Amino acid sequence: MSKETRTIAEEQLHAYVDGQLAAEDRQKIEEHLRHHPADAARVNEWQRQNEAIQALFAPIGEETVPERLRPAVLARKKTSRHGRRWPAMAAALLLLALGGAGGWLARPLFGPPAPAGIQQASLVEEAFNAHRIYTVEVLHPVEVTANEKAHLAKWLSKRLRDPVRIPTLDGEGFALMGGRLLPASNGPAAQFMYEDKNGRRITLYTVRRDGGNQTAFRYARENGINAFYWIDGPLAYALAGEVNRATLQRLARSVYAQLEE
Amino acid sequence: MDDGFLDEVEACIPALRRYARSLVLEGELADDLVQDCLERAIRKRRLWRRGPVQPWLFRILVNLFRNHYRNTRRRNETPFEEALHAPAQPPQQHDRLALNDTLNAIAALPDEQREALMLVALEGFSYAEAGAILDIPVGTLMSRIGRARRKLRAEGNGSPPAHLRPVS
Repeated sequence: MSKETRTIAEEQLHAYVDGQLAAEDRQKIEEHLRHHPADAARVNEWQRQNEAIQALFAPIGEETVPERLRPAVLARKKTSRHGRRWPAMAAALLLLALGGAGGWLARPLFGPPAPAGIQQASLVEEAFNAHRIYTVEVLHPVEVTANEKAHLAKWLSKRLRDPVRIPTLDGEGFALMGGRLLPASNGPAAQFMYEDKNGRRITLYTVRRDGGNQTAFRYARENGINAFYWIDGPLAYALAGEVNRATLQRLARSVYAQLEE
Repeated sequence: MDDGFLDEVEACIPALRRYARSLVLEGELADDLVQDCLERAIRKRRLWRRGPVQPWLFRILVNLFRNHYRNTRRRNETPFEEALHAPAQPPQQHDRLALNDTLNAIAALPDEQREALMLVALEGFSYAEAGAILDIPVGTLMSRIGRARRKLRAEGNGSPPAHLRPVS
């Protein structure tokens, strides 16, 4: 038996134990198990593990649900444990939904006071700079590549002192390349880079913004690069790329939704 | 505010509590995780756009667990006995000592392996659904399940690892 067929067989055995197979494939496995006692023993062991897991935890699903977990009760609560502000988020989403106008409409309606505005300018400025510097890199566009995504998220979360999540944009045609740590004017920043099949690159820039809470999306453009940027809780974000504004807005919306999930 | 959404959420709570318990192992903490998940889901209901509510809720729960709960669990000494005593109907047909061994072995699994195994073995999700909830390819999911089972087997056959308090 070649190494490859043995690997396939093991996956098939797991699928059999977990009830993932159609009847026809199930019968094939059962036939195989009749002639391979070692595999049969393994399958038996895994089935007993599954039974033990069920015995340990299934009864919890039969318990009466505590009052504090009833959705009707939770929905009535005005504030949450994390104190996130729903109205600001709803406003951000609403403005996004308004389409292209969202970016500049946000300014008069939800614009922060002047000092924060200055910080905002530096955020998007730094995001533009980082985008220009690293997207042209051929050999080292990122410091840690996408196949170490978990490590990348952990590392940057530690440096930014808040859980950093890395959105996936595969559904929009952009694959994660990886990310890097960057110096920003007020501490460490993170940059994640994505690329589509035509080699177009976009970057998501994240930096800690103490004292910030929530803003709507804002739009900026510089030397052919479009950017949407916003603040959400302790982190500020800027998504930049040389893609048209509507595409970038769609991507920004996806990023925002995933970060909020 | 249509009540259909809240009803759908409510129907998922027993499964969310069960899965949360298998992740954090301690009852109150598990319910805290579920509460955070539900509050977030209710707050973000506008972001839920398509498909059934249940996988979306599981995704939220997993993300909260990854970001906020696993360190809590490591920091506290998890009272494994509680996890075993809490079920309303104590299992009759299984040897209690063997279950204690299994529980200790489950507690010793790396979080990513436990996340994967429990979605499939406890919650009965298909590999594709579980992969989507955990945001990993099916191949990765299966290799985590495979490693989890090998580890459970290795630990289940021997004495509990030294770093865990024995359950008596």
